[in-house]
Amino acid sequence: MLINSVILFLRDALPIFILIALILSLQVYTTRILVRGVLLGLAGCVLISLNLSGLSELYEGSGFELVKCLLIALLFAACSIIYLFPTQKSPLVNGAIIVAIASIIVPNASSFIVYFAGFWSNTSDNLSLSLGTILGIGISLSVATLTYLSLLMLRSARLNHACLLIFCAGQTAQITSLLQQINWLSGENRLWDTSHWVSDTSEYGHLFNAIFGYEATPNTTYLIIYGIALTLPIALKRLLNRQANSTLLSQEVKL
Amino acid sequence: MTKQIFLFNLLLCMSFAVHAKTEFFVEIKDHLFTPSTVYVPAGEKVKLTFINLDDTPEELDSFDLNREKVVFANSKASIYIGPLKPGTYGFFGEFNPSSAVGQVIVISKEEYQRVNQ
Repeated sequence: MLINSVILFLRDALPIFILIALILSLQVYTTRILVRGVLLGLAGCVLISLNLSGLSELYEGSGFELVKCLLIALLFAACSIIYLFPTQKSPLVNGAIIVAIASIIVPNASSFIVYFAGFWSNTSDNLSLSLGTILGIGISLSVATLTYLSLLMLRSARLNHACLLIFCAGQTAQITSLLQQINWLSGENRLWDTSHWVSDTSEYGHLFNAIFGYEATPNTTYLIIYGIALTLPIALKRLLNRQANSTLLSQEVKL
Repeated sequence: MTKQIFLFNLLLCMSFAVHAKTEFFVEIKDHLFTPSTVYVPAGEKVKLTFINLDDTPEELDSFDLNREKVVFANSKASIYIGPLKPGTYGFFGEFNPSSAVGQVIVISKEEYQRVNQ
Protein backbone atom coordinates (compact mmCIF):
# COMPACT_ATOMS: atom_id res chain seq x y z
CA MET A 1 0.00 0.00 0.00
CA LEU A 2 2.84 2.34 0.88
CA ILE A 3 4.50 1.98 -2.52
CA ASN A 4 1.11 2.42 -4.24
CA SER A 5 0.60 5.74 -2.44
CA VAL A 6 4.08 6.90 -3.43
CA ILE A 7 3.53 5.92 -7.07
CA LEU A 8 0.09 7.54 -7.18
CA PHE A 9 1.59 10.71 -5.73
CA LEU A 10 4.41 10.66 -8.28
CA ARG A 11 1.95 10.14 -11.12
CA ASP A 12 -0.56 12.80 -10.04
CA ALA A 13 1.40 15.45 -8.14
CA LEU A 14 4.89 15.40 -9.64
CA PRO A 15 3.85 17.07 -12.96
CA ILE A 16 2.40 20.01 -10.97
CA PHE A 17 5.64 20.51 -9.05
CA ILE A 18 7.78 20.22 -12.20
CA LEU A 19 5.71 22.73 -14.18
CA ILE A 20 5.90 25.28 -11.34
CA ALA A 21 9.69 24.73 -11.14
CA LEU A 22 10.05 25.20 -14.91
CA ILE A 23 8.00 28.42 -14.91
CA LEU A 24 9.88 29.77 -11.87
CA SER A 25 13.22 29.02 -13.55
CA LEU A 26 12.30 31.37 -16.43
CA GLN A 27 12.66 34.15 -13.78
CA VAL A 28 10.32 36.51 -15.55
CA TYR A 29 7.07 36.01 -13.74
CA THR A 30 5.99 37.13 -10.30
CA THR A 31 4.98 34.81 -7.48
CA ARG A 32 1.58 36.54 -7.44
CA ILE A 33 0.80 35.14 -10.91
CA LEU A 34 1.84 31.64 -9.81
CA VAL A 35 -0.31 31.88 -6.66
CA ARG A 36 -3.29 32.94 -8.80
CA GLY A 37 -2.76 29.88 -10.99
CA VAL A 38 -2.59 27.59 -7.96
CA LEU A 39 -5.74 29.13 -6.43
CA LEU A 40 -7.65 28.86 -9.72
CA GLY A 41 -6.50 25.26 -10.05
CA LEU A 42 -7.61 24.38 -6.52
CA ALA A 43 -11.01 26.04 -7.08
CA GLY A 44 -11.48 24.10 -10.34
CA CYS A 45 -10.36 20.93 -8.63
CA VAL A 46 -12.97 21.29 -5.84
CA LEU A 47 -15.64 22.04 -8.45
CA ILE A 48 -14.73 18.95 -10.50
CA SER A 49 -14.51 16.72 -7.41
CA LEU A 50 -17.98 17.78 -6.25
CA ASN A 51 -19.48 17.03 -9.69
CA LEU A 52 -17.32 14.07 -10.63
CA SER A 53 -20.15 11.54 -10.45
CA GLY A 54 -22.35 13.46 -12.92
CA LEU A 55 -19.39 14.39 -15.06
CA SER A 56 -18.26 10.77 -15.38
CA GLU A 57 -21.71 9.75 -16.63
CA LEU A 58 -21.57 12.14 -19.62
CA TYR A 59 -20.85 10.78 -23.12
CA GLU A 60 -21.51 7.16 -22.16
CA GLY A 61 -19.18 7.28 -19.18
CA SER A 62 -16.38 9.16 -20.94
CA GLY A 63 -17.06 12.61 -19.45
CA PHE A 64 -14.11 12.85 -17.05
CA GLU A 65 -11.63 11.57 -19.64
CA LEU A 66 -12.85 14.18 -22.13
CA VAL A 67 -12.57 16.96 -19.54
CA LYS A 68 -9.00 15.80 -18.83
CA CYS A 69 -8.23 15.90 -22.57
CA LEU A 70 -9.63 19.44 -22.77
CA LEU A 71 -7.48 20.54 -19.83
CA ILE A 72 -4.39 18.96 -21.41
CA ALA A 73 -5.16 20.87 -24.64
CA LEU A 74 -5.40 24.07 -22.57
CA LEU A 75 -2.05 23.26 -20.93
CA PHE A 76 -0.48 22.80 -24.35
CA ALA A 77 -1.88 26.11 -25.62
CA ALA A 78 -0.76 27.96 -22.47
CA CYS A 79 2.76 26.48 -22.51
CA SER A 80 3.06 27.34 -26.21
CA ILE A 81 2.21 30.99 -25.45
CA ILE A 82 4.80 31.04 -22.63
CA TYR A 83 7.37 29.58 -25.07
CA LEU A 84 6.48 32.05 -27.84
CA PHE A 85 6.70 35.14 -25.63
CA PRO A 86 9.09 34.15 -22.81
CA THR A 87 10.27 37.61 -21.80
CA GLN A 88 7.00 39.49 -22.06
CA LYS A 89 4.90 40.42 -19.05
CA SER A 90 1.77 41.05 -21.09
CA PRO A 91 -1.72 40.11 -19.85
CA LEU A 92 -1.73 37.32 -22.47
CA VAL A 93 1.40 35.68 -21.06
CA ASN A 94 0.32 36.20 -17.44
CA GLY A 95 -3.03 34.64 -18.32
CA ALA A 96 -1.24 31.73 -20.03
CA ILE A 97 0.77 31.04 -16.86
CA ILE A 98 -2.37 31.06 -14.72
CA VAL A 99 -4.15 28.73 -17.19
CA ALA A 100 -1.11 26.40 -17.47
CA ILE A 101 -0.83 25.95 -13.70
CA ALA A 102 -4.59 25.63 -13.19
CA SER A 103 -5.02 23.17 -16.06
CA ILE A 104 -2.35 20.85 -14.68
CA ILE A 105 -3.65 21.09 -11.10
CA VAL A 106 -7.34 20.40 -11.86
CA PRO A 107 -7.17 16.85 -13.32
CA ASN A 108 -4.28 15.65 -11.16
CA ALA A 109 -5.44 17.07 -7.85
CA SER A 110 -9.09 16.08 -8.36
CA SER A 111 -7.97 12.45 -8.84
CA PHE A 112 -6.06 12.81 -5.61
CA ILE A 113 -9.01 14.30 -3.71
CA VAL A 114 -11.23 11.36 -4.78
CA TYR A 115 -8.46 9.00 -3.74
CA PHE A 116 -8.00 10.60 -0.32
CA ALA A 117 -11.72 10.92 0.38
CA GLY A 118 -12.47 7.38 -0.72
CA PHE A 119 -9.49 5.82 0.96
CA TRP A 120 -9.95 7.54 4.31
CA SER A 121 -13.65 6.68 4.47
CA ASN A 122 -13.10 3.03 3.51
CA THR A 123 -10.03 1.76 5.22
CA SER A 124 -8.16 1.85 8.48
CA ASP A 125 -4.72 1.66 6.82
CA ASN A 126 -4.17 5.40 7.18
CA LEU A 127 -0.55 5.10 8.29
CA SER A 128 0.54 3.76 4.89
CA LEU A 129 -1.36 6.53 3.14
CA SER A 130 0.14 9.23 5.37
CA LEU A 131 3.67 7.83 4.96
CA GLY A 132 3.16 7.43 1.21
CA THR A 133 1.94 11.02 0.95
CA ILE A 134 4.90 12.38 2.94
CA LEU A 135 7.35 10.38 0.80
CA GLY A 136 5.55 11.46 -2.38
CA ILE A 137 5.66 15.14 -1.35
CA GLY A 138 9.36 14.74 -0.45
CA ILE A 139 10.27 13.17 -3.80
CA SER A 140 8.19 15.68 -5.80
CA LEU A 141 9.68 18.65 -3.92
CA SER A 142 13.20 17.27 -4.35
CA VAL A 143 12.77 16.71 -8.10
CA ALA A 144 11.22 20.17 -8.55
CA THR A 145 13.95 21.87 -6.49
CA LEU A 146 16.68 20.00 -8.38
CA THR A 147 15.13 20.98 -11.70
CA TYR A 148 14.79 24.63 -10.63
CA LEU A 149 18.33 24.93 -9.21
CA SER A 150 19.93 23.06 -12.14
CA LEU A 151 18.25 25.36 -14.65
CA LEU A 152 19.26 28.43 -12.62
CA MET A 153 22.87 27.28 -12.46
CA LEU A 154 23.06 26.51 -16.18
CA ARG A 155 21.59 29.94 -17.02
CA SER A 156 20.55 28.96 -20.50
CA ALA A 157 17.29 30.40 -21.76
CA ARG A 158 17.31 27.87 -24.62
CA LEU A 159 17.63 24.96 -22.21
CA ASN A 160 14.79 26.37 -20.06
CA HIS A 161 12.56 26.63 -23.10
CA ALA A 162 13.54 23.17 -24.35
CA CYS A 163 12.70 21.66 -20.94
CA LEU A 164 9.33 23.45 -20.93
CA LEU A 165 8.56 22.18 -24.44
CA ILE A 166 9.60 18.58 -23.69
CA PHE A 167 7.59 18.55 -20.45
CA CYS A 168 4.58 20.01 -22.25
CA ALA A 169 4.87 17.47 -25.11
CA GLY A 170 5.04 14.62 -22.59
CA GLN A 171 1.90 15.86 -20.84
CA THR A 172 0.07 16.47 -24.13
CA ALA A 173 0.82 12.94 -25.33
CA GLN A 174 -1.07 11.61 -22.27
CA ILE A 175 -4.19 12.38 -24.28
CA THR A 176 -3.48 9.14 -26.16
CA SER A 177 -4.04 6.80 -23.20
CA LEU A 178 -7.15 8.76 -22.15
CA LEU A 179 -8.66 8.44 -25.63
CA GLN A 180 -7.68 4.76 -25.78
CA GLN A 181 -9.39 4.17 -22.44
CA ILE A 182 -12.70 5.43 -23.88
CA ASN A 183 -12.13 3.77 -27.28
CA TRP A 184 -11.73 6.97 -29.26
CA LEU A 185 -8.31 5.72 -30.35
CA SER A 186 -6.93 2.25 -30.88
CA GLY A 187 -3.93 1.03 -28.90
CA GLU A 188 -2.32 -0.77 -31.81
CA ASN A 189 1.05 -0.35 -33.54
CA ARG A 190 3.35 -0.55 -30.55
CA LEU A 191 6.60 0.67 -32.04
CA TRP A 192 9.13 -0.63 -29.50
CA ASP A 193 9.36 -2.06 -26.02
CA THR A 194 11.90 -0.69 -23.54
CA SER A 195 10.17 -2.09 -20.45
CA HIS A 196 13.16 -4.39 -19.79
CA TRP A 197 15.21 -1.24 -19.18
CA VAL A 198 12.69 1.03 -17.50
CA SER A 199 9.21 -0.34 -16.98
CA ASP A 200 6.22 2.02 -17.06
CA THR A 201 5.10 0.57 -13.74
CA SER A 202 8.39 1.20 -11.91
CA GLU A 203 9.14 4.30 -9.84
CA TYR A 204 11.61 5.47 -12.51
CA GLY A 205 8.99 4.85 -15.19
CA HIS A 206 6.53 7.15 -13.42
CA LEU A 207 9.25 9.73 -12.75
CA PHE A 208 10.36 9.81 -16.40
CA ASN A 209 6.76 9.84 -17.55
CA ALA A 210 6.10 12.97 -15.46
CA ILE A 211 9.30 14.70 -16.63
CA PHE A 212 9.32 13.96 -20.37
CA GLY A 213 6.38 11.65 -21.09
CA TYR A 214 8.35 8.38 -21.08
CA GLU A 215 6.42 5.38 -22.44
CA ALA A 216 8.04 1.94 -22.61
CA THR A 217 5.71 0.80 -25.41
CA PRO A 218 4.60 3.87 -27.36
CA ASN A 219 2.35 3.54 -30.37
CA THR A 220 2.21 5.63 -33.54
CA THR A 221 -0.51 7.95 -32.24
CA TYR A 222 1.48 8.67 -29.08
CA LEU A 223 4.56 9.61 -31.09
CA ILE A 224 2.54 11.73 -33.54
CA ILE A 225 0.88 13.71 -30.73
CA TYR A 226 4.25 14.03 -28.95
CA GLY A 227 5.87 15.20 -32.18
CA ILE A 228 3.15 17.75 -32.93
CA ALA A 229 3.25 19.10 -29.37
CA LEU A 230 7.03 19.43 -29.59
CA THR A 231 7.38 20.90 -33.07
CA LEU A 232 4.29 23.07 -33.48
CA PRO A 233 5.41 25.79 -30.99
CA ILE A 234 8.90 25.80 -32.59
CA ALA A 235 7.39 26.20 -36.08
CA LEU A 236 5.12 29.00 -34.81
CA LYS A 237 8.06 30.80 -33.19
CA ARG A 238 10.07 30.63 -36.42
CA LEU A 239 7.08 31.96 -38.32
CA LEU A 240 6.65 34.85 -35.87
CA ASN A 241 10.37 35.66 -36.00
CA ARG A 242 10.32 35.64 -39.80
CA GLN A 243 7.31 37.96 -39.87
CA ALA A 244 8.93 40.29 -37.34
CA ASN A 245 12.15 40.37 -39.39
CA SER A 246 10.32 41.11 -42.65
CA THR A 247 8.32 43.90 -40.96
CA LEU A 248 11.56 45.39 -39.61
CA LEU A 249 13.17 45.15 -43.02
CA SER A 250 10.26 46.84 -44.78
CA GLN A 251 10.33 49.67 -42.20
CA GLU A 252 14.07 50.14 -42.79
CA VAL A 253 13.49 50.25 -46.55
CA LYS A 254 10.81 52.93 -46.10
CA LEU A 255 13.17 54.99 -43.97
CA MET B 1 4.28 22.99 -45.34
CA THR B 2 3.95 22.96 -41.53
CA LYS B 3 0.20 23.33 -41.88
CA GLN B 4 -0.01 20.41 -44.30
CA ILE B 5 2.01 18.13 -42.01
CA PHE B 6 -0.18 19.13 -39.07
CA LEU B 7 -3.42 18.36 -40.97
CA PHE B 8 -2.05 15.03 -42.19
CA ASN B 9 -1.07 14.03 -38.64
CA LEU B 10 -4.45 15.09 -37.29
CA LEU B 11 -6.31 12.99 -39.87
CA LEU B 12 -4.05 10.04 -39.13
CA CYS B 13 -4.80 10.31 -35.41
CA MET B 14 -8.54 10.57 -35.95
CA SER B 15 -8.67 7.52 -38.18
CA PHE B 16 -7.42 5.21 -35.48
CA ALA B 17 -10.63 4.75 -33.44
CA VAL B 18 -11.87 1.16 -33.48
CA HIS B 19 -14.76 -0.80 -32.05
CA ALA B 20 -13.99 -3.33 -29.35
CA LYS B 21 -15.97 -6.51 -29.94
CA THR B 22 -15.65 -8.42 -26.70
CA GLU B 23 -16.96 -7.19 -23.37
CA PHE B 24 -16.04 -8.65 -19.99
CA PHE B 25 -17.87 -7.92 -16.73
CA VAL B 26 -16.35 -7.71 -13.27
CA GLU B 27 -18.49 -7.17 -10.17
CA ILE B 28 -17.29 -5.25 -7.13
CA LYS B 29 -18.98 -6.56 -4.00
CA ASP B 30 -17.75 -6.27 -0.41
CA HIS B 31 -14.62 -4.60 -1.86
CA LEU B 32 -13.71 -7.72 -3.86
CA PHE B 33 -13.54 -8.22 -7.62
CA THR B 34 -15.61 -11.11 -8.98
CA PRO B 35 -14.17 -12.72 -11.03
CA SER B 36 -10.76 -11.62 -9.82
CA THR B 37 -9.12 -13.09 -12.93
CA VAL B 38 -10.29 -12.19 -16.40
CA TYR B 39 -8.97 -14.10 -19.43
CA VAL B 40 -8.82 -12.02 -22.60
CA PRO B 41 -7.50 -12.83 -26.07
CA ALA B 42 -4.15 -11.43 -27.18
CA GLY B 43 -3.98 -8.81 -29.94
CA GLU B 44 -7.57 -7.63 -29.48
CA LYS B 45 -9.08 -4.54 -27.98
CA VAL B 46 -11.64 -5.50 -25.33
CA LYS B 47 -14.08 -3.69 -23.07
CA LEU B 48 -13.91 -4.25 -19.32
CA THR B 49 -17.05 -3.21 -17.45
CA PHE B 50 -16.94 -2.90 -13.67
CA ILE B 51 -20.26 -3.09 -11.82
CA ASN B 52 -20.02 -1.70 -8.31
CA LEU B 53 -22.61 -3.32 -6.04
CA ASP B 54 -21.20 -1.67 -2.90
CA ASP B 55 -22.54 1.49 -1.31
CA THR B 56 -19.11 3.13 -1.52
CA PRO B 57 -17.14 4.21 -4.60
CA GLU B 58 -14.07 2.38 -5.80
CA GLU B 59 -11.27 3.67 -7.97
CA LEU B 60 -9.97 1.07 -10.36
CA ASP B 61 -6.28 1.46 -11.06
CA SER B 62 -3.78 -0.49 -13.09
CA PHE B 63 -0.17 0.52 -13.51
CA ASP B 64 0.33 -2.43 -15.90
CA LEU B 65 -2.55 -1.42 -18.16
CA ASN B 66 -2.10 2.36 -17.68
CA ARG B 67 -5.75 2.76 -16.75
CA GLU B 68 -7.56 4.65 -13.97
CA LYS B 69 -11.30 4.95 -13.50
CA VAL B 70 -13.64 5.80 -10.63
CA VAL B 71 -16.61 3.45 -10.27
CA PHE B 72 -19.22 5.17 -8.13
CA ALA B 73 -21.46 3.37 -5.61
CA ASN B 74 -24.16 1.18 -7.21
CA SER B 75 -23.14 2.11 -10.74
CA LYS B 76 -20.93 0.81 -13.51
CA ALA B 77 -17.99 2.10 -15.52
CA SER B 78 -16.13 0.75 -18.52
CA ILE B 79 -12.60 0.93 -19.80
CA TYR B 80 -11.07 -0.33 -23.02
CA ILE B 81 -7.80 -2.24 -22.94
CA GLY B 82 -5.49 -3.72 -25.51
CA PRO B 83 -4.50 -5.02 -27.93
CA LEU B 84 -2.17 -6.72 -25.46
CA LYS B 85 0.62 -9.27 -25.61
CA PRO B 86 0.15 -12.55 -23.69
CA GLY B 87 0.93 -12.06 -20.01
CA THR B 88 -0.53 -11.06 -16.67
CA TYR B 89 -1.66 -7.49 -16.03
CA GLY B 90 -2.68 -6.61 -12.48
CA PHE B 91 -5.34 -4.15 -11.35
CA PHE B 92 -6.52 -3.06 -7.92
CA GLY B 93 -9.07 -0.88 -6.15
CA GLU B 94 -7.29 2.19 -4.83
CA PHE B 95 -9.63 2.53 -1.87
CA ASN B 96 -9.31 -1.10 -0.79
CA PRO B 97 -5.94 -2.18 -2.14
CA SER B 98 -5.55 -5.12 0.24
CA SER B 99 -8.84 -6.80 -0.74
CA ALA B 100 -9.81 -5.42 -4.16
CA VAL B 101 -7.12 -7.06 -6.28
CA GLY B 102 -7.55 -8.62 -9.71
CA GLN B 103 -5.68 -9.53 -12.84
CA VAL B 104 -6.18 -9.68 -16.55
CA ILE B 105 -4.52 -12.72 -18.08
CA VAL B 106 -3.93 -12.33 -21.78
CA ILE B 107 -3.78 -15.64 -23.64
CA SER B 108 -3.26 -16.43 -27.31
CA LYS B 109 -6.31 -16.31 -29.57
CA GLU B 110 -6.12 -20.08 -30.17
CA GLU B 111 -6.04 -20.82 -26.46
CA TYR B 112 -8.87 -18.36 -25.85
CA GLN B 113 -11.04 -20.01 -28.49
CA ARG B 114 -10.26 -23.47 -27.07
CA VAL B 115 -11.23 -22.36 -23.52
CA ASN B 116 -14.49 -20.79 -24.72
CA GLN B 117 -15.64 -23.72 -26.90
